[in-house]
Order: sequence, then structure tokens, then C-alpha cells
Amino acid sequence: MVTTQQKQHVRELINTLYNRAGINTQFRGEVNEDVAAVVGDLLTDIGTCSDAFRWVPRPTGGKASILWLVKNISQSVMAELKQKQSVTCMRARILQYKTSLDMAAAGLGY
Amino acid sequence: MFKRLLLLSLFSLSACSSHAQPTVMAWPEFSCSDNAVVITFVDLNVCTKASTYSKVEVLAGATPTIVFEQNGTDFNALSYEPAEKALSGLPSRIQAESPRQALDALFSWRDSSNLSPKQQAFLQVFGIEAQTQLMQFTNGNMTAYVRLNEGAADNTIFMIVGNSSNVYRVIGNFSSADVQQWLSLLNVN
Repeated sequence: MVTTQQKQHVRELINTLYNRAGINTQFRGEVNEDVAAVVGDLLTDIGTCSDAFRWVPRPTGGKASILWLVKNISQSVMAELKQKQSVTCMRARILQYKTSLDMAAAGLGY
Repeated sequence: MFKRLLLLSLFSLSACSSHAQPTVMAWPEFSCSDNAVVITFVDLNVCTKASTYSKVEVLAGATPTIVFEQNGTDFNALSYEPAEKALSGLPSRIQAESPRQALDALFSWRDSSNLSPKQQAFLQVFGIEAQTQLMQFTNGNMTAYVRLNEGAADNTIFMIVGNSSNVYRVIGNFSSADVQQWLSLLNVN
């Protein structure tokens, strides 16, 4: 059973990413398993941005879940995401996934 | 009397449909000076002048992308993606026969008065609100669908060539004036 705090952790991660992409709005959608899967794919894409992003955890062999994100994206990983200077690629990837995130959060699937 | 009523009804129907779909405008003429470099991205030619951008970055990964930046202010990412991915699954979700048909539908819904909850949700997901500018441009068999929200970081141009199942997508913080500029720098082989 996923708790409210765990969903809040995923929401905080999404807003950290939005902030890096210059998206001024906050993610207010429902955090569900489809949202987690989109975030997992986004992290995978960010991980291929350059060797400097190798440390970004990415789900292996399947979709990310809310619990996977909570376990693998710690506060220190979020702090790293906030501080990374090379943001061009990360910013582009976040913008490319925003509609899919909103689609999943609206319950329209992924 | 009956004929007059019928004519009036037909007139109002046609008025409604002309409001429902953004007017399709002519693509701005391709403009590329002699000292510019033309980058060919799949089948799309992009005219780039050194003075226009402070940084051009080609991204690796599953989605081929070129990012054009200007002094930390303008940020535009041009990608080439399967339509299902670029449109977040919209064509299959609304059972459209093609990406073009899916975008035509999406761009026509806003002014409809009888939308289903699902259609309303799609409009919200794609950031189409009452004040959103929706534009369409055509150049032969290439069509651009533009969705613009003032000051947004994720303004978007979807471009489809012919009946391709792939889409060129520009996402960035561009204005409506920038759209004309962007399109004048693009053509297809």
C-alpha cells in the first residue's frame, strides 16, 4: 500500500525536475503508478544525457513504481539533480515528458 | 419560409465549424542567408546562423533532439519522434487514423460546446485553455500545429510531413513572433 508521504516524495521529485526545466507551474496531479512509470522513463533518458548523469538511478528491466522511486531517489539524489550545472539535456528531456506526466496524472494511462 | 430557415441553419453550422478549427495559414517563406549553415535533421532542413544562437547541442538517447539556446533566455528543443510518443498516445486513445487526424481533432475541440469529460481532460493535458493561441501552417504536404501559452516554458510546434507516423516537435519558451521566425528557417527535402 502506497502512503501519502510516498506519493508526496514523488511529487517533490517531479517539481524538482520541473524547476530545473524552467517550468513555473507546480505538478498538482494525482501521483499514481503510471506517473511513476513516466518518471522512470524520464530518469532513464536523463541518464543518457552524458557520463555526468550516469549516477542517476534508473529502473532496470521494467517500469518504475512509486515504491521504486521512493527507495532509489533519495533526498541526496534530489539535491544532486538540483545542483547539476549541465542542464541543457535534462531540461529538454523534462519538457518532452511533461505532457505524458500530465496524461498519466489525469488517469488517462501511459 | 422553410427554405429560409434551412439556409440560416446551414449558415450557422458553417460559422460554427469555421470557429472550431484554427485558420490554416501559409508557411512563412524559407529564408536562409548565404553565410548560414543548413543542418539537415532527418528530412528537415534547419537554417542556422551563428549570430542567432549561443549554443547548439545535439542530444543522444532514444529521441534524436537538437537544442538551440540563446544567452540562457531562449531555449528550444527540436526532436524527431514516433507520433505516439510525441503526442503521448493521443492518436490511439482517440482512435484517430493518423497523427494528423488526432491533431486536427485536438485543435478543434476547444470551441465545441459539447465536449466529453475525456476530451476536456485531453485539452487540459495538452495545455489548451481559453486564452491559448492555436495556429496551423501548411507548406505543401507539411503541416505545423502550434500551441502557445504566454510566457510558458513548454510552448509546442508539432510538424507532420505527408502521412508519416513520425512527428517533428519543437518545445520551448518561444513567442508567436518567434513561431514565424522558426518556420521561416525550416523546410523539407
